[in-house]
Amino acid sequence: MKLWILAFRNMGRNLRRTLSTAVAIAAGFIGLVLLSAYIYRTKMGLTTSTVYINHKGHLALFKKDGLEKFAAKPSKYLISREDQEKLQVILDRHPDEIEFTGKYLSGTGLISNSKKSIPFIGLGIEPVTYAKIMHHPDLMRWTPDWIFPETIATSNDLALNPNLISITAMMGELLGKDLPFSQYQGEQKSLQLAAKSYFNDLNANNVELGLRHTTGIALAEDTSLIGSLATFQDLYATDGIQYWALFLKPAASVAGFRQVLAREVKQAGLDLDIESYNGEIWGAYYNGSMSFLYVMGSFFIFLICGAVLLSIVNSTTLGIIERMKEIGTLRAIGFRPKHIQSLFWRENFILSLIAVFSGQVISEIIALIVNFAHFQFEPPGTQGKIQFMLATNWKICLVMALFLLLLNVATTLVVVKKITRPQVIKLLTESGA
Amino acid sequence: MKKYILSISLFALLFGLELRADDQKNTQKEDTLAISLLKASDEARGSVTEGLVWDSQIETVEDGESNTRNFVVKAKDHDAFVEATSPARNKGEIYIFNDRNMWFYKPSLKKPVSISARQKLSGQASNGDIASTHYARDYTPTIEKTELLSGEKFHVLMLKAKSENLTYDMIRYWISDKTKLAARAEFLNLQGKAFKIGEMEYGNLITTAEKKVPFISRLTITDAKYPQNKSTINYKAPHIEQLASSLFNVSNLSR
Amino acid sequence: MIPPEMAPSKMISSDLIVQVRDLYKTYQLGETTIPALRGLNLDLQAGEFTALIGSSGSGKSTLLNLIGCLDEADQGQIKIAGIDVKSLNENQKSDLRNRKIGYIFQSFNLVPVLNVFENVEMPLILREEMTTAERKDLTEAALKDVGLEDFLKHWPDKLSGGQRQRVAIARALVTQPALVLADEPTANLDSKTAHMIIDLLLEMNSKRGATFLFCSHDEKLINRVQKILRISDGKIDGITAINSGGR
Repeated sequence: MKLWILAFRNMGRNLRRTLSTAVAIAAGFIGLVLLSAYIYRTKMGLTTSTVYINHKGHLALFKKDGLEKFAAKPSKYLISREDQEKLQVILDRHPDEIEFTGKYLSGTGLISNSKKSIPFIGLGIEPVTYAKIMHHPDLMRWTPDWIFPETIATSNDLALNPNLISITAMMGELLGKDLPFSQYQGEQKSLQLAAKSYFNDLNANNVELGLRHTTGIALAEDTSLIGSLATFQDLYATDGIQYWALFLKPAASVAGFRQVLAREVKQAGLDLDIESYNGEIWGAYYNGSMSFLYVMGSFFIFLICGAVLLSIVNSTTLGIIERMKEIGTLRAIGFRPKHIQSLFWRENFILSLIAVFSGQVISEIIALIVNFAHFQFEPPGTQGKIQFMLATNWKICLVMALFLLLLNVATTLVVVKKITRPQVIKLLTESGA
Repeated sequence: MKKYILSISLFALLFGLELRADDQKNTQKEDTLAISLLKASDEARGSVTEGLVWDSQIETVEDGESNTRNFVVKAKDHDAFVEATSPARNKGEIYIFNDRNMWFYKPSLKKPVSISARQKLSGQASNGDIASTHYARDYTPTIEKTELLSGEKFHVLMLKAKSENLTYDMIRYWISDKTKLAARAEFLNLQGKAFKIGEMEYGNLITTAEKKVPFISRLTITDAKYPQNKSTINYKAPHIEQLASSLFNVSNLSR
Repeated sequence: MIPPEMAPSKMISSDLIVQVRDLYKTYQLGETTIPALRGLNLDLQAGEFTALIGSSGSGKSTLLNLIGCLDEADQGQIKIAGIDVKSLNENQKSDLRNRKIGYIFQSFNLVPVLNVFENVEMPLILREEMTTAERKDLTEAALKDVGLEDFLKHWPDKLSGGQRQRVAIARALVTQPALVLADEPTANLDSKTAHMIIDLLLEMNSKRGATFLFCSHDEKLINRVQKILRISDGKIDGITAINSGGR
């Protein structure tokens, strides 16, 4: 305790230097918090977009090699009705982990307004799953810009009318259909989908215009189409599905549950692959974006920590040099080298703690102002603007605070150890004792 | 000396102009020949002004699996009406060709669907391959060379698509000098590489108002990379028939 | 852990507190080697009040620093209360300084951010076996001995030179060391205060029974010691015993 008191009082010996060091640490911590807030917000936005808006689920079960080969040979890599029934039994065992599930079938084809056809990349969804996804709280929290209020409001319509399809405004424009799509009635809302069925012949069916969505990705915006699973199964002439997505409860561990599921699927004799939303191929966009952000973040963390470290090294070195005689005196009355180190790390620990706390408060204020200001920006590769948000997360802040504290303490220990190594007499005479 | 140089220059200029004029005359002559060859070969592939009806059977072998589909093709001028007759799953499906536009319809559909001629109909056969051929209308031909195949002289034409919505971008086309019938086609991608090879046989005869003309009896389309994958279109019972224009009217297909 | 040989009971029982044999120490000043001690021998008995005198550069401070384990000899042996200093590692030397040696500096060397009580208590906080109450008792007793019981909460910069040196004396004695070393303890004090400090040192010597060894040029102090060691050219070249001392 006495060492803590001594350490605390020592901070007041050169207030200007202590203050400048504290400002450097606080500024560094603010930088870390805001950077992490941006990365965290982006991560959560991308996770929500990948899992829910892009319908990948936290986990998705494919026929073995189906993820890569389904597009080339869909009929071979379908999950058959028989396999679906076996899988249902397994999934029913896990109500604690699974919030809800959805069966999907994707494919390409043409959408026609009877005058012209344009290509689509479509996704067939179970209508109930579609409604659950659109009403999921994560969407409201993290990706409100990428979901139109009307999309949410009309999301139950698919269950009432499985012939409905959801298209983007851009696809509507290409088909000569203006917003809102609800203005079209009767024949006007009748559209046709045509595609090569799994029997290798051309097939087509009737659908109705009614729903609207956005992909959030510019490249996908003019081809994206969502419809009911039944519509797609009819179009491709199959009762199979491409994948079965699992939407997990917040407390469930994606990686952990994946292992459990893999074991049970294998035991059931099912030849399935389980992909997670952040996988290299299944979650390629998520994975690529996050990898880039992590690299960028690491670079900035390196710069920030470097600046903070230099500041700590500088102030600690000056502090030691100024107090050489005092350190010698303490050594002379019996302080071991570790006691001296402990004295200095305590000093920097207290200083860092105060700086980190202040930094946290300032960061929260900055985040509040930024979020309140509703800045809009258009990230590259995305469709339309989204709000520039800073979302601080107490767990990440705590980890970073601990990291910074640890880094400062470790740096202090190294500097003190190096400088206070000489004989006691040298410490005492360094400043003329 | 100056006069001498001037005379040589003038001679060279006049000679050069004369040569260029000769080249242009030759090119025009070749273009005319290419177009006439193409027109003649198109006739034997259904491009006739009268109504023409035939049965078409497509046998496809792909990745070790084989299937057969049957159609009735009714063609007149630049239009065609193709109806699937078997297998049962496809019975009643209709393809309508209006000039270069193509439509698909089946009884359950409320409206016909506009489709592309390039899409695969069955195996190697694209939608555009099933109906009558109008290469003289759709492609710009140039004669690349002539060559002998089994002792017969063939003009090798390079056909370049006049518009984007055609079945193929480029075709290398072998037309017999003697019979004016096309015997072989290499369907090329934009890089000029063959991705499908077609071989035609003419075992049918049709009688038009004016004359009897040979008509295609078999078109074998083989994948250039995987030759085991091929589709054979057999043309059976071709005959001239009066066809009403309303048959080709897409709006008549809507429910 | 306290090594058994550092236990207080053993400290008191030993008669020979300091034993120095063939001690050599040189300093390097650029390319020049300066010999400070040249085979010095010395014995100090428990409870002695001894002054180390000699001309400037004779090796007084060097000897004091070596005995106080603040520096390392090039050659020779130093035993403090029977413990060979050379055999100790850095931590053991720290413990030896804490438990057996008290050091009084010429310029007091108080920690400015600690008050009088805390400065004196400082050596005791390293004693893990000691309770807060025990520390408090010992600290207050030490400060009472030097007459500063009313200045516990005062800050060093508010004290006079004499008071500061008394705090330094209390800090040196609070651990009840066997040996107290002082380097020119009165050099920075006026004559009156120096007298008071000398009286105090003598009183502590008699009251606490600790062995005192200090180097000084101060005649006032030298005249009141029991024993004077004269050092010249890095060796003890004379010992003068004054039985009555100044007491």
